[in-house]
Amino acid sequence: MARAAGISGFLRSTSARLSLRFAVLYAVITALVLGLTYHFADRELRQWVADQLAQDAAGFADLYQGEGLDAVQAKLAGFAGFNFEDYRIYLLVDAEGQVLAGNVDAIDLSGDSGYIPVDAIHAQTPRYKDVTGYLLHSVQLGQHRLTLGSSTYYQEELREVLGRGFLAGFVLMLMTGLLAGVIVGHRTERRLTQISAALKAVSDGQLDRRVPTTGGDTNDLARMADDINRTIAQLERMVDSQKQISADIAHDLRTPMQRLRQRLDALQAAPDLPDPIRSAVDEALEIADDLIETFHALLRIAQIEAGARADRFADAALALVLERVEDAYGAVAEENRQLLTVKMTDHEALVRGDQQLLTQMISNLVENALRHCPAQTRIKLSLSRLDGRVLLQVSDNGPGIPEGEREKVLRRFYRLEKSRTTPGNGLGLSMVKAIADLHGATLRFDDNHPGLRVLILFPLAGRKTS
Amino acid sequence: MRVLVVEDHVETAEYVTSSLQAQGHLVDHCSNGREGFLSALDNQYDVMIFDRMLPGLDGLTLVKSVRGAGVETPILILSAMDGIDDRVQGLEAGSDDYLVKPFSFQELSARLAALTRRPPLRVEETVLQVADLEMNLIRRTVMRRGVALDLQPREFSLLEYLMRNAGRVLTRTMLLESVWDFHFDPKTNVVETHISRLRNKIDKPFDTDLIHTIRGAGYSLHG
Repeated sequence: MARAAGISGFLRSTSARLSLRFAVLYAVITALVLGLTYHFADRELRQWVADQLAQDAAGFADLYQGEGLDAVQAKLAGFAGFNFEDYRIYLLVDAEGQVLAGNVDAIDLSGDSGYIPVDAIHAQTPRYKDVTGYLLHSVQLGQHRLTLGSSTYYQEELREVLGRGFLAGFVLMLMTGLLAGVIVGHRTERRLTQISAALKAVSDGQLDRRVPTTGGDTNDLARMADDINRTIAQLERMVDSQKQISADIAHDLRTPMQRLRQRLDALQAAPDLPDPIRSAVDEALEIADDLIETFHALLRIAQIEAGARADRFADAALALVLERVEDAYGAVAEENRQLLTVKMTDHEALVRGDQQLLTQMISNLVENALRHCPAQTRIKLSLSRLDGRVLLQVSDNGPGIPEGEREKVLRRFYRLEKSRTTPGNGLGLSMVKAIADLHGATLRFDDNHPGLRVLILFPLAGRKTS
Repeated sequence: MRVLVVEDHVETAEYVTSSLQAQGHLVDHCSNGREGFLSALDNQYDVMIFDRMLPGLDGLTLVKSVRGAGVETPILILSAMDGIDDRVQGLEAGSDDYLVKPFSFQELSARLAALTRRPPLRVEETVLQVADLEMNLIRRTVMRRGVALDLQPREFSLLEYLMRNAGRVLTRTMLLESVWDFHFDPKTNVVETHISRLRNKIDKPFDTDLIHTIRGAGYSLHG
């Protein structure tokens, strides 16, 4: 499955298409070169055969002039004695067309010389199968006419050799092109895979990830990798300085907040404080604690987002966490005249994670429902399996979140218009999102018709074996 | 009791030291890890407070060194609020409790008291008794003045924790951590709700209350 995807992925890739095109182009050029070679060689060969025939004819003419017809006939008879794959034909006829000598019976002459097909040759013995035609040359010897012919055997041979060469060359070219394409494509593909893996890691928050570079490589992909690495480094510097700023602010504010709290604490402990001042101090302490709590939550979210605790992950049983949350909040719901129920169809599912953070995440969601829903609301926690993953749901039939607001509620300090009057710092869902992200879980808000349904989909780590 | 405070931050050290002294405790203060280490070895303390970030020797290393030297005095670590892993790391290093800055003195005081109490729990101890309230840990039953009380499991563990720390102030955070294992601040009144339910069962039917609310601090169980 993965292999098939790899191959089809390769065929879809840019480099593979490019190498295929080049292979075809090379093959076309090979064909062209071989075609031209054949054309010129064929012409040369014809010329050479024609020259030879003319020379032979001139020799016979000289013989006729010097020694007469008998000498010509004697020489022709000698020639007819051997027949090298019907390479040569001879025919001597008198003025009436009577055959006097030769190794064929008749030739349908369309002209005095030039090419004729093998069908025009009439003879007792069948022609050699590879011969398709003859080049002829006729000469007049007094009243007689001598026709000399040379078969196209050599042209056939040449065509065959060149054809084989062309085929071999074409196949070789195509194979080489494809092989080169596969190799180059594979390497390109590997580089691109490395690049996208690095980019994915970076987008997942691993800002220290880089695209692996091989020293000395100066091709375009290596340059691109360098550019990407520079960009990530720049991003890392920016995020670091951002974090540094947050840390600096945290550090700078920690001390005054601590002092503020300590002063108010000391003041509250004073024995003879007038009542109005005491209540004012109590209120100020409450505000200071809210401030500290908000600050604390912000720093916690930032740390979770930065991947804190991920190295302490262990197998956590979500069923246990759900039971604990129900145990803590069931009574609170009852006091609010709401109903908190838990329904689990998968008790054994384990996820990789931090049990305390998971407890906080589910608690935050339950508290959200408890605080934003009116009396008589039913709040349901459920745990089930979905496509080999673990699905945790927190749903209620309360007022819900309007569709356009569902993304926004994850932002820090964002609060729905109607919930601005209820206590809270607007960080609860940011925390939920940060914890879900840390666990590689996806978080979604859906309409529960009516109400809100929060779906968290965890990768399954295993099953409890007890 | 005798307390060692190892804290480099002057104002916090001053606040902790003077507040503890005001409660009548004997306090030694060191402003760096090395001094703290020597003090911890040279003296007998009831409890020690180490800051997580110290010049010279950081808090975790200090805890490990002190434990390595065989000192078993309870240790509480003070940590900055941005150290999300500090609690686990602190406990792993060998400390007994942990508190995030800024904290209220009441929280610190309550935690120190809970740390120093630590009665060696005898194996045969199966019954807890506070005034006329009796808890059988084996049979998991609770009686007050001979009347059997029907408690939910969580109410039972809440009461057990209160009874084991009878007479001490237990803050909301301590209850959340010990009874529910919650290490965050819930936005709803989880503790108050459960305490109120417990009160309905162990106090309401009787003429004297055992669970007392300590204003601005937490709860305490005593006769």
